Amino acid sequence: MPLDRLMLLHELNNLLGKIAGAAELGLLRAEHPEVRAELETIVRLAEDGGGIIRRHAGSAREARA
Amino acid sequence: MPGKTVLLIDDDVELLRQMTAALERAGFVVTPATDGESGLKRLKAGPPDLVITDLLMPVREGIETIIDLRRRHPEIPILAISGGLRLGPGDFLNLARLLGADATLAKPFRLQQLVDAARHLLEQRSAPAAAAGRA
Repeated sequence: MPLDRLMLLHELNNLLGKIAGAAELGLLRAEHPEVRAELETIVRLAEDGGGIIRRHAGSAREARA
Repeated sequence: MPGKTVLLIDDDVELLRQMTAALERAGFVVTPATDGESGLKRLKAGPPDLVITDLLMPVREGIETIIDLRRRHPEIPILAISGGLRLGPGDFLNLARLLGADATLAKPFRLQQLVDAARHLLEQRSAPAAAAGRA
């Protein structure tokens, strides 16, 4: 995989981490159960996305090695 | 950990904001900095109880910051954080460990993981001192 594509994955991975982080901060304040459920969904989906990116980057690194 | 001071260094302004908010909510007093150079300058105001630093940063990157910090303040625990998906976060974090970081955390992480890691490091540091005090 070209280096610029790995860089892009790195940026996306960090972005998803910050989306999860913003939702996590929201969870520290949110009391309404439905709001909490939506924030928990955002955290879970962002983490799932990060997992996909890391797996993709991991196989790309192995292919380059 | 009410009142424990943390020097927090990361060039990602949004992540810095999030980490600061989570640590402050957990009772830490946080001094944020966006690069190693300004982080080390803040040490002049007094050494913090803990330093948390990113590794890949402009101006003065984290590895250099850790080496400098270890030389000047060997007593301060250091938590190194890094993404570095490009080469594998383990590569940079292992290097940080070798050069003096006490613990590492790969990005992205849950903010609660960061708070737990900070607490754990400070507890580890205070445990031997407390034991010596009892002896």
